[in-house]
Amino acid sequence: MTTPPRVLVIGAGIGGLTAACVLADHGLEVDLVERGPTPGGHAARLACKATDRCVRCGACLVTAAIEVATDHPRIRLHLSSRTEAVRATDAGFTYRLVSETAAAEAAADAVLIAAGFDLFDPRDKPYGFGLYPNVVTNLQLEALLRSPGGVVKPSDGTPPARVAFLQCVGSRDRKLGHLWCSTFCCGASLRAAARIKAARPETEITVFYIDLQSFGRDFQSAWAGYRRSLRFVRGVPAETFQDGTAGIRLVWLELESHQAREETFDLVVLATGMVPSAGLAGAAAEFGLRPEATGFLPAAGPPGVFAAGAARGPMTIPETIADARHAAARVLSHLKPDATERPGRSAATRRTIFP
Amino acid sequence: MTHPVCIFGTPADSREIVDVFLEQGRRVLLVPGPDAEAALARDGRRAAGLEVLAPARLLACGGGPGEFDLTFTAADAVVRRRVSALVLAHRPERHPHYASYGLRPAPAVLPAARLVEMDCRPPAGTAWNEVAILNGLQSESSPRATGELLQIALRLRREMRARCHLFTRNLKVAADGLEALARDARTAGVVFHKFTHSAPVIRQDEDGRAHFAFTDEITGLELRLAPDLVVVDEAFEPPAVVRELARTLELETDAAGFPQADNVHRLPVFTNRRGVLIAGAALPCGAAGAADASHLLLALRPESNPTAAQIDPGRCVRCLTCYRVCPYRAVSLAHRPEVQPAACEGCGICRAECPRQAIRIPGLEPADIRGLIAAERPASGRRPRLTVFACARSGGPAVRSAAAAGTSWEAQVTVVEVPCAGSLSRDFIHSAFDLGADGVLVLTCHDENCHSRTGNRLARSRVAQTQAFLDGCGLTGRLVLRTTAANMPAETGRTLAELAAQLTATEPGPVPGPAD
Repeated sequence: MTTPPRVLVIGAGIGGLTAACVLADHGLEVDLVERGPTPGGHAARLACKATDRCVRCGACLVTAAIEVATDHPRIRLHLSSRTEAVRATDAGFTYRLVSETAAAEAAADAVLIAAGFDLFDPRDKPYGFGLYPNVVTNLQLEALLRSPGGVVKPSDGTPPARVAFLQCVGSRDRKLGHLWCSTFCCGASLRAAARIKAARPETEITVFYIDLQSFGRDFQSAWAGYRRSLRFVRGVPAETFQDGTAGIRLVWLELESHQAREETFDLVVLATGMVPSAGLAGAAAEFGLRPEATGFLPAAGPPGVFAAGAARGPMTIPETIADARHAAARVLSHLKPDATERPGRSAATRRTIFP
Repeated sequence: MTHPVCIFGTPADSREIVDVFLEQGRRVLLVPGPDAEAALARDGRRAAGLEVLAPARLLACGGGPGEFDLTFTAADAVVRRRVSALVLAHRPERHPHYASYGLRPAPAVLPAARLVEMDCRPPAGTAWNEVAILNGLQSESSPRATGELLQIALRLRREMRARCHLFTRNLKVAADGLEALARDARTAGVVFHKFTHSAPVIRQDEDGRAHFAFTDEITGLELRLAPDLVVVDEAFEPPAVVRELARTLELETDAAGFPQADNVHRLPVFTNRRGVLIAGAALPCGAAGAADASHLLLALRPESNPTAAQIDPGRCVRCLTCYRVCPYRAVSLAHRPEVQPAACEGCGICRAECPRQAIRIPGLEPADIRGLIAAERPASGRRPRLTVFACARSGGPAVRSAAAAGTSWEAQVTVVEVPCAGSLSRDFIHSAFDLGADGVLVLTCHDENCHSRTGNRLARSRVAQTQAFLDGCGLTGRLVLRTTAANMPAETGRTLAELAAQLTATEPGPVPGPAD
């Protein structure tokens, strides 16, 4: 083992950033390898959905984590990079760190795979995604919420009068073999809907769901509020029909009347779920970690190999932060570094910053 | 040697945490509560490093992180202990939802906790052939409760072929393995009755047997059930001993009374007091077991604090304002108010509120602020001049992201980042105008997102007071406050642009700048 120990953290989303900060605060050297050009992963692309108060999604914590990790003296952030040619040694691993411009040999005493997730590709479903411009994913809605124009129809840039959210797209799906709830989508959809309503109260919003999942500490109270401002329909339409220029038609079975019901919407948001990220199995295999039947990773494999965050299975931002801290603790337990460093406050949970 | 960690919890509640702490070489003082049996103190494991103090009630907590001075009443004596940190590990109490279902407890109507205690086995001479499980039929359930009830249903199906009916509104499966577990339950023959716009009618006989009448929402069939057993779900609430600890320790609580505010900055195991932690198992939806212990151990790591507030004893008049306003309970009262450096977050609220300006925080002195504003101003005389006071957790990163994305404002913008908007005293704002600002923008975190909980609200009231003063001077519209978040660069950029446009249209500010 090197002194101080070196840890390879794969993925600089909120999970990887959190784990890297904890490890670096404990005096370890961290190589944080991110395949994308920017850190923060999916969560960095989320919009703040506060209306008159914070809605506790945790997305703002990602910005703090990026700042702390980027400035941390013991974290080396490698963007647009990946690992190759991994070889186990007595003490840990050697590997080649490959970026767009360079390749270098490197070593680590332990590895933490925090590679995150991919979003389910809704082109695999007959919702017209990719065909009808006004059928968007939840992540695309986040981009609209962050944009200066706010939530508008991609087709013509005007605000939608009637919005439909379709939950569980790609999740809880036996035919696909996706026997999991993606955990974040009910909260994301309802918070986004509330933000759209706050900006334009005349917008009519309908949420098509199977089972509404709780989110936040006091969901019972929040649920009453959401039911007053949004329409909830139990049962998710299986397909959509573009009705010329009139909008997008959805057909569903109304529970109360047992009749088929048909309505037109201007904007359809598909709450696409989490799936194991492409290449996860391959990357994990390099370190001797085999995915479970779901395709997500177990928490640990051979000695010195750990996984955290959505790479292990769907979880929300606060859950990912907790899981990454737990994984970092297990890395520390495995490596038992000398407790020589007593760094000042910098970890993602505490910030005292003055310009 | 560091002092022991004090863990409040019964031996059963805290077993995993205590084991992990002892393994990691931490000494533990276990306090099961004022109702615990004295025998625990004698029989409790005398493992190296473990002391059990029972029965005991916490009277007071002085000192600070690393060196808390705890005073207990234990059997009629007063006992004092010095500990490095406190962990609240009492598990929530489970309150069966009898009343909301119109049921009363009976041999045939049991709470889920009781089923677990009974290992899902009926008492001798009783058969559970038909079972109804109520899971979130009135108030919403949770993944933890749903997992437990699904396991109960599976046991009853597999071991005694009981016909199991699970009644629910929204099936909570947002946790690892629950969707698969629900599918397994269906495959094993558990029948799910989901209610959306209707509810079963439930009545109970004198002998305690419950009767259900309901309409299946999908088929429209009217069904009746008179099960041998009804399993009732439970609400999770903090036990009385935890409510008392929260009061004694001056901890923020959430709406249900758990000693952790509903604030993203407190997750997973933090409270508003450094060194006082809440175990995940003590929260309805927190992590349990080894993960829990990990978080707690990580959080115990001591850190130095160069930015702690210092009270000048020469100026202090012991009004105790700082003691009352400190969100982190970092001011202790011995002979006079003193800031515990290890507990101080450097938020600056005490400094801003002190009526005698008796509190210093390195880097947050009026001279420091004036220096920052003056240093940022080029001598070019570009107008309008906008000074932005931004919370370093929200406004600061948002403005920086907006600037990095290439947003430019038709103004000369000076950004002063502060650790919390609550540190903004009126003299900071006046300094900005003194140094030639045409307008001042204060950016705080959203309500209920503030790390100190009160900082943004204090900033809002201070800004309102200053606005009233400026209005009186004929300087309306020059001081604006907005809430924002670190991931709102577009909106924050727009706020600056709008204010800059507004100021361009008005006359220059009250004080000319150097190039004027």
